[in-house]
Amino acid sequence: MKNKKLYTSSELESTLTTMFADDNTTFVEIVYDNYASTLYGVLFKILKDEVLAEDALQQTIIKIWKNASTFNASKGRVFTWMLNIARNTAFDILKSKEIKYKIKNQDEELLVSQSDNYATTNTKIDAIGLNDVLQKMDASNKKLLDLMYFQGYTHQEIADELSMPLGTVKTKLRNAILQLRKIITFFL
Amino acid sequence: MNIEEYIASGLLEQYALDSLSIEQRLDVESNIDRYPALKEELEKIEIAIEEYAILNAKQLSKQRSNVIWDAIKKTINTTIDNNYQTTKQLNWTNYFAIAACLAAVMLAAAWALQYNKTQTQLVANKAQQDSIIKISAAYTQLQYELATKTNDLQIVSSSEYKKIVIAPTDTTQKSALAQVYYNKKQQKVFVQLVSNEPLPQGKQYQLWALYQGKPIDAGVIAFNAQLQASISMPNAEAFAITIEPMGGSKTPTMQALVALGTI
Repeated sequence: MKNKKLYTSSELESTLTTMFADDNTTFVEIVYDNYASTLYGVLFKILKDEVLAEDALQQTIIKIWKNASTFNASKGRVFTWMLNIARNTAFDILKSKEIKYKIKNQDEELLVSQSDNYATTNTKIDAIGLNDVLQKMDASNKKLLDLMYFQGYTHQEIADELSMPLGTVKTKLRNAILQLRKIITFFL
Repeated sequence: MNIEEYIASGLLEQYALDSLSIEQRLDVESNIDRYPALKEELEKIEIAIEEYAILNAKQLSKQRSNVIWDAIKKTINTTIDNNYQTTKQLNWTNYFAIAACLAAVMLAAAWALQYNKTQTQLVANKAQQDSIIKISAAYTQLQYELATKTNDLQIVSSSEYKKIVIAPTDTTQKSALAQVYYNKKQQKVFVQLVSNEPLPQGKQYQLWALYQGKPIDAGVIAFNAQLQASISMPNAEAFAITIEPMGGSKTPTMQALVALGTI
């Protein structure tokens, strides 16, 4: 992996959108070089296990490669699309009872031991700092976002978990993301 | 549609988080296609969530990263090879299928054509065969008749055979009853009916040779115009024909003597 071209976020979006339409595999390396750490971070956050997350990362990249031609830029962004592939891959893995059981037992321990490793080399994170962002968010908003994004909770499950009416979940979610947007805009 | 209300509903956030049902997804997709403001809002939401994901990024070690990358490359190459093989096999299978289909169609067409031909030919052949059989039978018959006639001709024209006209005893009848051809040297006797006067039911002509005043049975005569071979006679001085019961008699019924011819 030498002399890699460095892409900006918007360049990546347009480059990959173009490359996805072509029948080749060269975009896979670009995806891996530019998104592996984020995808892996999300996968690890969901699976809470390095081995599982590495395996899930491999699966995710393969799925991205296989499904690239189905990506439609008019329906959303490339990165979001890839992140959702990763999330769904991890949620599928979580559905295995055996793995669920394993995670349950490791849950607390892993969260503590691995938390220091979070996103230490991402340039944006370096500049902002995860905790800085997260500390700015309301705890309830952060919890809601985490339940949905990293645990794949349905609205009903969130309503049950957070003891709120089902109809409120949507509004709360919107508010949580709006807050996130404001914070990010502030930091970026 | 009220764009602001739609945005405020939180549907776009759910869409970005991939937590909508398929129907809801399709609905959102059709709306973002129609309303650029929705697409713009969605993009902002997605970027925010992407940033949130980036906040949670976790760097793999160089070594682990390379291991995973090698595994990905291997999987991709294997998949491509397998697909290529499958495609190749499919192509071969397709070619084979097409070839088989073509062959089948051609065979069917050829068979249909041949069938029609065969059917027509069968009918024609059958008629032809019948004709041939008929012709063949006729030919055989003709050959037989020719041989018979040739033989008869040889007999009747041969100087070795003496022709004896058997005249009716009833002198009022002018025409002869039969002719006998007698080869005394070879003791061969042939008789041929000339008259076609029908006989009473159950009756038959019988030929007798007369030697030293005694009648000798020379056999019954079939009622046709053929030259018929009779029983061999070493010595015959005359020939006589009597009307006998069917199958003939051992001794002639003298009152039924109808014709006589002397040598």
